[in-house]
Amino acid sequence: LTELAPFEVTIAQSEVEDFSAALGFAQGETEVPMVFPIRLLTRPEIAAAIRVFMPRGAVLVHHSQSFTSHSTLRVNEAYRLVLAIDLVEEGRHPRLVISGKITGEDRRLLQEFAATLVVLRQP
Amino acid sequence: MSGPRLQIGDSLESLVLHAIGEDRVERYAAASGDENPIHLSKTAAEAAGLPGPIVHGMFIMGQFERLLRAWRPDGRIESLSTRFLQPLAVGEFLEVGARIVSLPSENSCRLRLSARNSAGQVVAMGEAAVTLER
Repeated sequence: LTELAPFEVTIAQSEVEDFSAALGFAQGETEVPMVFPIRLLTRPEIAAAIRVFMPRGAVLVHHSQSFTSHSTLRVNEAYRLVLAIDLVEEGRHPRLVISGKITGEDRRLLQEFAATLVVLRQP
Repeated sequence: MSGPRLQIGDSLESLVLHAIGEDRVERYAAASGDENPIHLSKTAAEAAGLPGPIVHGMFIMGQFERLLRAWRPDGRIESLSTRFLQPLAVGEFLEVGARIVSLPSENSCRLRLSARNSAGQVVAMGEAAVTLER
């Protein structure tokens, strides 16, 4: 896996509210969902860094995903996200493998995640 | 620890979404930032070899988390993993369930999770580790 330079991220309350509501979580839940870090991967600068590993015009379909929580994430806190990415040429379709580690300002590991996505090439 | 004592084999009450329509998928796409066209466009989905637009896998995984949080609000999800086995078409029914498969300690459990479509086919399966407040 190729490790990317760390991204500084802060999670806004409104992002959590919108994300939680879209999933149908009970209204008023303020806790950052465990699956929320997937939202971070679509931030423009992070998505652009991931796209570098994808073939041009490729479409991604999720194959598997995991999250391990060491501590609950909180809104308005500054975190550091470190991603490691690889494109694995295996089988009929390549797979994009992304692993992430979120640490606090003190560098304590708070959450880890891993995603495997099938890369479909457009005809 | 609040709530009933945990036992291996216990099943959680399923979460049923009768139809995950375009509006719901569009809302999730906007909130997650995942605007991959295979979720939003019939043309794009077909071009990628799919029969039509599909629900985001992460929406389904989010339903696993929703189920666990609703089951035991006193619980803390330590880990959650999911394997997506087949696409779920937009407009489809989804039933999400879970069963306790082991009890590593008095206040923790491991669960096996499944998500089924209207035909009863498993579209995603997962595992979770949950710790409950003492």
